[in-house]
Amino acid sequence: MAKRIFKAGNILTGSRLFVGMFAFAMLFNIQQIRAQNKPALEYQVKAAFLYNFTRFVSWPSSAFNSSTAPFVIGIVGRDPFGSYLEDVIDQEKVDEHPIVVQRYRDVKDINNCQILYIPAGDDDKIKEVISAVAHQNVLTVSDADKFVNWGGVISFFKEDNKLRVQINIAAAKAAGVEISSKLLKISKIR
Amino acid sequence: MVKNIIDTPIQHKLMRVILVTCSVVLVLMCGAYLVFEYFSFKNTIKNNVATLGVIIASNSSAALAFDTPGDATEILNALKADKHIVAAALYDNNGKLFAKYPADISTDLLPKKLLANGYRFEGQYLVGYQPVVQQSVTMGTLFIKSDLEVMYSQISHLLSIGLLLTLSSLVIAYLLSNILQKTISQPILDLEKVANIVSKGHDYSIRALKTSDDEIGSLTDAFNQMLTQIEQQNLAILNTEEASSKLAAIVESSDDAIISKTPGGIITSWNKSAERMLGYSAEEMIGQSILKIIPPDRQDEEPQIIKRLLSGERVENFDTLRLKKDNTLLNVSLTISPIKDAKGNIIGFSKIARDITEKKQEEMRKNDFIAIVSHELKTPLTSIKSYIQVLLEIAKKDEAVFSINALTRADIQIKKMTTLIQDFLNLARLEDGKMLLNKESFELHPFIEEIVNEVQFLATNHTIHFTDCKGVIITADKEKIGQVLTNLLSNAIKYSPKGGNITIDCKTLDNKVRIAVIDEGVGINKGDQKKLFDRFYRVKNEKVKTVSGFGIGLYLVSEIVRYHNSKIEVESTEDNGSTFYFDLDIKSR
Repeated sequence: MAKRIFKAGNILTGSRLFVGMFAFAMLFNIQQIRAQNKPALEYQVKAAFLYNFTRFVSWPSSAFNSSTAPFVIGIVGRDPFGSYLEDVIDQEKVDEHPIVVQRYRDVKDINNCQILYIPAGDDDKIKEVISAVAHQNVLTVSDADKFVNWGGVISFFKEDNKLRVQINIAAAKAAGVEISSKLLKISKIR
Repeated sequence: MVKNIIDTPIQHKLMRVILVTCSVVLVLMCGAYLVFEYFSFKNTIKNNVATLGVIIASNSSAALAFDTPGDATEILNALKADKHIVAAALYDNNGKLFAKYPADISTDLLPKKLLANGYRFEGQYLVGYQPVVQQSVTMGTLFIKSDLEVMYSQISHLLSIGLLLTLSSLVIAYLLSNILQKTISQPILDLEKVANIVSKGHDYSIRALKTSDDEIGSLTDAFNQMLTQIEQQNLAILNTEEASSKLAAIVESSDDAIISKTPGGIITSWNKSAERMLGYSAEEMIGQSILKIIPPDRQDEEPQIIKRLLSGERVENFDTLRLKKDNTLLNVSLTISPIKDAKGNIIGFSKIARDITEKKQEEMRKNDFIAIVSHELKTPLTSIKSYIQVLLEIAKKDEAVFSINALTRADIQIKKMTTLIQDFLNLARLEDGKMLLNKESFELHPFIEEIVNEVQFLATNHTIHFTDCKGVIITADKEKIGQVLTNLLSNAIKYSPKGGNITIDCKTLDNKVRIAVIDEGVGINKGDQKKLFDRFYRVKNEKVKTVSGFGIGLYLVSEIVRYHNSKIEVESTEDNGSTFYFDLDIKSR
């Protein structure tokens, strides 16, 4: 049995939410779930999606300093995942690049990263981040509703209580990352 | 059924063989091809479904990864393109159903539990479990199920093509074999036709035509050779039949009775003359015993004759009597020969009986004549002899030399004549069966000595030697034994024309004495030896043609010896002299 199995669960409400949560929790190795650090179910799914993006998006080799340089998932600002994201990517690699999580307090702290998660919040700040990392082979991901309109690459949104993905293909192209047609097929395209 | 096949014409057999062979080969080929196709199809279907599985699984990875079962269902719906895919489903990594195809399929028809990855045949379906992997991460499993309709339809398609090919091949094979079988069957049928003509028409001059140098050709040759042999044998049979019918005609028309019989004495043939002579018809006698025609007092003759024949001796001119149907006796002379089969085994005897009644009567008259003449001659001779002896005594007293000489010669001639007449009388008595022996005991030595002296007196050119047999006394007819010795000695002198030695030898063996007369004369050849003791038999030979005689001497010798229960024997080679000998019982010594 593979060590990591990620699949998004339904984001449900009420008692069904609980059942869904329970089912989703069952997807993971119990040992790796640290109860005190477990975020809301929605963020568990988002953490899984972030990891899954590594399988459906490809980065140019110029995005890395070396062939064994780490694959960095950066989080700018407030971190909604706690240590859960580390649990998800623990020991995982993209090709030869070990996946690591880096957190940035502010835009200026953003270092070389391949996926940058920007939680919803201050819209201006988000736009600032987008422009800061444009053309730097960074797949920007956010919960903000209008993220893709602002030039972000991928934004999460909810539809029928399920977490969906919206993609700005032009932004992806501008960032120099290539998104699998399989992902595009199941996503909403702007 | 089996019998029917065996009895069918050779043409049908040949065609059957060809067709059965073709059918078996075709069916085997089609069968092998079908089996090959079956497995190859299975493999193809497996590969096709596996390819489909890989594509669908690959396309489903994002749907599984980002939890969009709708998209997954849509991807699975692409399977509509292949109508043989009857079911498909996606499962997440926990084995939970994620999406299914067709959308309305009951979950009961889908596996509750995922099995090992891979594709396999389950009953009428091909079932596959294909992992969904995106960049080495397993997202879930695709279940796919295909029916095998395409394979079965393809196989049945091939089967019907195979059947059609087989049938049409058989039709072609039938037509071809119908033509080709003739190369084998036609010569056989021709031969059979000829054989039928020959056997129905009994015409053995027909020959079959040889058309090839194969086995049928040699069969034709053998058949023709057999016909030739039959023809020749028929000819031989015809000739034999002709010869035997000629022979039968000769037998039937013979004046002599010709009878054949088995070794056991059962009559097997009886010719016309036998009927005439003995009064019995062939119907009466065939199957009867030969003893029926043998007089009661001669019944022991038959086994003796058979014994002689079996020992290889011929029985010729055996004079005897046979009983006629009217119980009168018939004088016959028999010549009996063995009948042999091809291997030389004696299978019977042929008996030729000649009626010698007339001959016998003739002999009787002759014997009577001889007896009368002899008797009439003997009387005057006796008185002449006594007068001459008286005159000789007177001449001796007077010492008249000429008279003594003349009278002595006359006395010798009278003795010769007396002997001759005595012989004739004996002969006549013998023929009448009236010869009687007047036996007395006497000493042999002086008796022989006396005879030797008498004979020596007449034979001046020859020397007679006499070996001693003193003390031997025999019982015999002295006069007749004297005749025997006189005869043998005078023969020895007669047939030794150049003079020489004559020996009379006397040997005792147990209680017998063997008396032999040995000469150094012309000898007797084998042919003459057999007939030597026959009455009136005279050797016809240039060397002895001047020798006079009637041919009764040795006949009388043999008869007299026979009356003494003995047998005269001769040993001789031509130009080397002869030895005559016989044995007599010794009374005492």
